[in-house]
Amino acid sequence: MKVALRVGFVVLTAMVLERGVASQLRIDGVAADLLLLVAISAGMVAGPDDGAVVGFVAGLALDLLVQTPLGLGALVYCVTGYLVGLAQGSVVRASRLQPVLLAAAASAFGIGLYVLASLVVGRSGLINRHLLVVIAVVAAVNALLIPLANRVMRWAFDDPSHNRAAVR
Amino acid sequence: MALSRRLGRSRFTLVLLILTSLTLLTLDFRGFGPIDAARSGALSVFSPVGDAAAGLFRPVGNFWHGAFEYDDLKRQNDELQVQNDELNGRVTSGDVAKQTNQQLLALLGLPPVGDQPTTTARVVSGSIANFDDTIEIDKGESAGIKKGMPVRAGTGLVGTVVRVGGDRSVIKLITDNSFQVAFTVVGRPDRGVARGQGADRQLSGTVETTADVRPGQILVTTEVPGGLFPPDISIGTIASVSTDSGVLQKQLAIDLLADLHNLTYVSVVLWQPAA
Repeated sequence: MKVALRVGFVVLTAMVLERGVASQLRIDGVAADLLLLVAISAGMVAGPDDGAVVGFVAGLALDLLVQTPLGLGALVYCVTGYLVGLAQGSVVRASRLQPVLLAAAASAFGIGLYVLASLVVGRSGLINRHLLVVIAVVAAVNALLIPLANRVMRWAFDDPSHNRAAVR
Repeated sequence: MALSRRLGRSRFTLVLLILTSLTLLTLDFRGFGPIDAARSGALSVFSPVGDAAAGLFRPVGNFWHGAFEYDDLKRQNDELQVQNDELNGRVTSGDVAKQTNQQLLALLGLPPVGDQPTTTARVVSGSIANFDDTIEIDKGESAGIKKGMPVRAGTGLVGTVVRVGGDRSVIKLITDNSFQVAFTVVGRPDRGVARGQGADRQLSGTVETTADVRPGQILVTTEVPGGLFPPDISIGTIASVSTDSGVLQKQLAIDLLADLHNLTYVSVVLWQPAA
């Protein structure tokens, strides 16, 4: 219960920061995707199971904020959170750089999957040169913020010392 | 053994969540009422909180824009000065033409056109996510705004209201990929359809091959049965015309009249499409 409340608080905070701050501080017209960062961080800290659940909630939160079809963000972010959990679990020896690289790769994957899913539900015209800029900026910002996000997520999962990656 | 059991449980969770997402998507596409209500509720709840956060971080934002966009802002300011002078001249001649038009319509006993009531609102937020061509304004239901109402900014069509809260509304911009609007060429009987192609891109349009269209002509909304816009809201000017031999239509590239990058105030046309 305590974990659920803390995770809910983290998602709500990310929602407010996305709406009030990230959407204003754009780099080349691209906003940071803090809710995707939450999904990635949950996968890294808590494993694929919890990564998928938190990703789903974070994606749903994004869907409520924007005008894209409801369920699109939930679908993409839960898959991203799950896969990050699997990838983190398969790491034999983690280095300091490993979470940063994984966050960047997962962000690029998440954005790519979002665009593909958007195409499937009939939103065309998203594949253009600007998409590369979106991927680059979101990947870079999430890579930069992942150490902080992981700290917050460890607090949320009440597990500061233990990495709960389910698959080892 | 334990590994495969854990993986199996994880996959079960994932499949369950994917199915839930797909169900939500299906319900949303079918226009399930509670989903719309939930989104309007989220708009009413998160907008004030988001505004407070934005206000708190405004000095950072100002520094950010100043540091990274100073040259662009200066250039935009110079361009806007020139445009302002030019538009002042056009407004004066437009007022004269409008007055003459109203007098002629009165003489002929015809109803006045193009004068729909509007309400002015301030733009409080741009797009929130990266693939969302929307803006948020500071007026909602309490100001008589309803879903589906067209929105314009001075010279041209900006978009349409897609979500309404108590004191907030979300506008889908005309550049959104799912945006379509029927148009007519000013001074010509030719009609066509314009479509959004994403942020920072021209609209694309199609007209019959027999249509006499040329670059520079102005396009305005036209009333069609079941249409979503009242007539005579200017949309943009034709930038180029091309004919695709494969299809029996002319393709148009359309420059917007409204400057979507510098929206501070917009006018919501208090007109709703027929049910």
